[in-house]
Amino acid sequence: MDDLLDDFIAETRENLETLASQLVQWEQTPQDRALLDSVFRFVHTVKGSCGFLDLPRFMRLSHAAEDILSGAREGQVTASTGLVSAVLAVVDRIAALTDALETGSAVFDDDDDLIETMLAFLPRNIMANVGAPAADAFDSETNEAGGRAKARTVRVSLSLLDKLMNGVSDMVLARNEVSRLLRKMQNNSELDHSFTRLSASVAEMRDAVGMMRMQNIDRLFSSLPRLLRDISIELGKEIELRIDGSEVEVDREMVEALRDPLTHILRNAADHGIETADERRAVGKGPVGQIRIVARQSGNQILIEIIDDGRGINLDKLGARAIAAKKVSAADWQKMSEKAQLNTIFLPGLSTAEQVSSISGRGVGMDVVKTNLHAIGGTVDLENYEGHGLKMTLRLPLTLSIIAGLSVRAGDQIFGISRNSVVEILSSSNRNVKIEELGGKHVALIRGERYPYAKLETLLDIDEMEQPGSGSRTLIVVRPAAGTVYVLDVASVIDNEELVVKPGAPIVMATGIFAGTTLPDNGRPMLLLDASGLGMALGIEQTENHASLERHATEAPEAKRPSALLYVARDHVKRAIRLSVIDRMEDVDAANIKFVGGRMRASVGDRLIDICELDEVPEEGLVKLLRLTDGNSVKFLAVEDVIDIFTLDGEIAPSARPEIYEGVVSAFGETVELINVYRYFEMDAGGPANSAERPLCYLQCDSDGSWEHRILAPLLIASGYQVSFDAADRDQAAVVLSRAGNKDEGLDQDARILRLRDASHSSPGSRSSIYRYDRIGLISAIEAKLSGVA
Amino acid sequence: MTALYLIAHINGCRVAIESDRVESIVQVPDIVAVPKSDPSVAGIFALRSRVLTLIDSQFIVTGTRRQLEKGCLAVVAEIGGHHFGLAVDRVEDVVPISSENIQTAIHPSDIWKSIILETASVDGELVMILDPSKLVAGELALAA
Repeated sequence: MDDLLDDFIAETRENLETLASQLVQWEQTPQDRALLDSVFRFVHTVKGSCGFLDLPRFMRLSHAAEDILSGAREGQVTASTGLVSAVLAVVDRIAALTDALETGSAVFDDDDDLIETMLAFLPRNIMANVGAPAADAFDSETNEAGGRAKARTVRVSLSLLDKLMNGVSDMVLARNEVSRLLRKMQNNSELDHSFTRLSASVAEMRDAVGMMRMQNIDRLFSSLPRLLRDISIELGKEIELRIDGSEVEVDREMVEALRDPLTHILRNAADHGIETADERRAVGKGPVGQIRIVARQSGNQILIEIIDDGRGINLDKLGARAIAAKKVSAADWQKMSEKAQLNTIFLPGLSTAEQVSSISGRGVGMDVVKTNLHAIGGTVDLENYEGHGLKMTLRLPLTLSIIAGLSVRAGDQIFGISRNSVVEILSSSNRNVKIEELGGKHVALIRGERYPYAKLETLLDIDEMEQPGSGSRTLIVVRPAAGTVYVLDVASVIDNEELVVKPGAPIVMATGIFAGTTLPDNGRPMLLLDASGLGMALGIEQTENHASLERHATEAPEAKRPSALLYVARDHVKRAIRLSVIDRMEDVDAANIKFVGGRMRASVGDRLIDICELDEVPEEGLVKLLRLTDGNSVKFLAVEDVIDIFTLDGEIAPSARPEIYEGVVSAFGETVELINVYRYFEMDAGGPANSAERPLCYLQCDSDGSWEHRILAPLLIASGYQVSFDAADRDQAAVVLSRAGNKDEGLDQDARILRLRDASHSSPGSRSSIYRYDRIGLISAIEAKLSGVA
Repeated sequence: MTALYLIAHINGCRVAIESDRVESIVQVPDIVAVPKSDPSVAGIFALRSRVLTLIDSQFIVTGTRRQLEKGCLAVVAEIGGHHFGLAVDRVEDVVPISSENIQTAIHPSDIWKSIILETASVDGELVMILDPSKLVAGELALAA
């Protein structure tokens, strides 16, 4: 019975959210029969279950709601604001009762009043004969429609899900432990083999569990139409809400974290942004205010845009308020850029509302939005069009739980930091770096730019350890989500790894410098540094945010000066490579590098990546590789060592072999060759390009066609074409290949035809063709055809 | 009504912790210090895949930090949705205490007063009844 009750509670609660938004939709489109049916179906389901579970109050409420809805189905009543409000009141009561059912508390019983208000919408004379018969007639229909719509899912409790996630994490840790032990042991290929299999299935399982955390963003949006409806009725404004992109999937915890900010933004937009109908008409807008919410995924970010067509933000008014609230001085306000002025709405205790309404205007809200978003690693941007509206863009990381991180050493401890906030890593012995002292404070001078600087040990109040060996430390240039760029001086950077972030206990988070805790593979917990918090500890004010934005704008052109990396190549010659193509540096175990398929390749994770400039694999140890990317494909460039980054501001002298060297440049007083990256990627023709973009070759052949199947098709596929033998594909093929021996019906007029002949020399008088083993000629002929056809 | 209590020692004193609140008793593995944190935080440690915060219970009572090392005993409890390890000197046993034996009339000495509200007699000896959340929540109040 308890199980049944739990199921009922969970199901009802889930349905209620959808129901409320459907009711609101129905209010706008009263003719939509399908919508009404689905509302009716839900109420009917609730009625059915509570009759079964013996819950009389639910029964009465849902029965009454069903009456009124069936009245609506028969056209006796039409949707009106009053009616929908009354139905929503009943729905709310059902929700309250559901909660009460779970917690065991009581809800005041004035259900009859609610029911009476609702039923008052029905014409008197009909009231007597609506009810059970109508509902029963609907039964078969309900089941049919309900059965079709239902996705194949099961309800699982959150605690069970969490348990499963913890279990899988435990398993990953245990696997790592075993892997460490295995590495110490003698080689045993059989054991290795089974371990690899185990390892792969554990990884697969972790991914699957990760997916389980994902939830459709719809869950977040489903409550908004209702919210907006209530607000707009209270304010007496007409507002239309449009929601796009509900198919985006986000982390379950993110949905919870976003609920409050989104509610605040929507309230603000409805209250301050959208004008009254009269005001709107006066400025030539439609009387109905529009609010749009768009969610989409872009790279590893989720973007949520909230766009209203209201009055936007009046900067003068905002300024007056900010000055009155002593948030900024009048002089500073004058100096601030428009964007910086706009961002003051995120300052705590500031509101542009004329007066405090029940909805917003208490000066809490926008700062909550910003704080909440920062807490989950997101940012918020504003675009103000005064008189025409405001667009707010929330940017969120794809998942809350896994981030790319760096582990750094400070004193005798290891900390993690999110790689997103790291701009650059340099050695303190670098000639481009100078630490200056300025009245007791330190400033780092890197390639002519000055940044606030601090040692991580100083910030954390821990003892500095004597460096064994080199004595040089590492500088990390950090760009926090809020505040200016600064330089963090750490003992060393240890590793680059995926970190599973978990929130720390409040007492740990209270320090303000940690973003959470994480458990790396070695099983020793690690604290994750909060880039913004460290900035604050360093004395960078958060409110300086706007100043930094201004500075970035002016910095940008300067920062665009290309930089290059000076490195020692495998043949012990110093060379330079453009920094823009380098993703990062990786040390790869020699055991993972093999010469296969005519190229040197490294297996990283579950993929093979080509390695350039590596002639032989060392017996053992690590190989330093630069990870290069052109945006699509990835290559490794093997290097002996990396020296430093320098700016390419000198002249690039032309090279005698431009296909290998882009030119000759001067780096740190030495003349070195700047390598041409193009050639590393050019051999990638058959790479993982999107299959839809590959030109289709139709191979015309007789029934046997074994040469085409065995020789020609593999060659074409390897050269990056799609191949088809299916005559149905012929029409859409970019090129049609046919051997001279084949009958070519009606091919003469086809411009796409390319003939292949068996003899190496063309016989006089025959049509132009290509020898079938002339690989280069064939490929270039196909290309010629392609460019001709295109 | 009789409930089970775990008898543990903090700063040499016997305290009783309701056993329902106790998840487990563990020997703490490597402790990682949390710089700049409240002095009652002895560090964080891993318990399988979870990261727990280790609370220096002795500090809360006496105001002096105890040197906590790998292998020390901690009572694991969930407080406010987070898991904490509460460092204890040693644990004795689990005993039933009936609610009639719990009283608020006897006050412990000043240093304990902030975290102990009730006492009970067990086998003729008085023990202080400790609500684990007091160790953490009380701390936050101090810090604020």
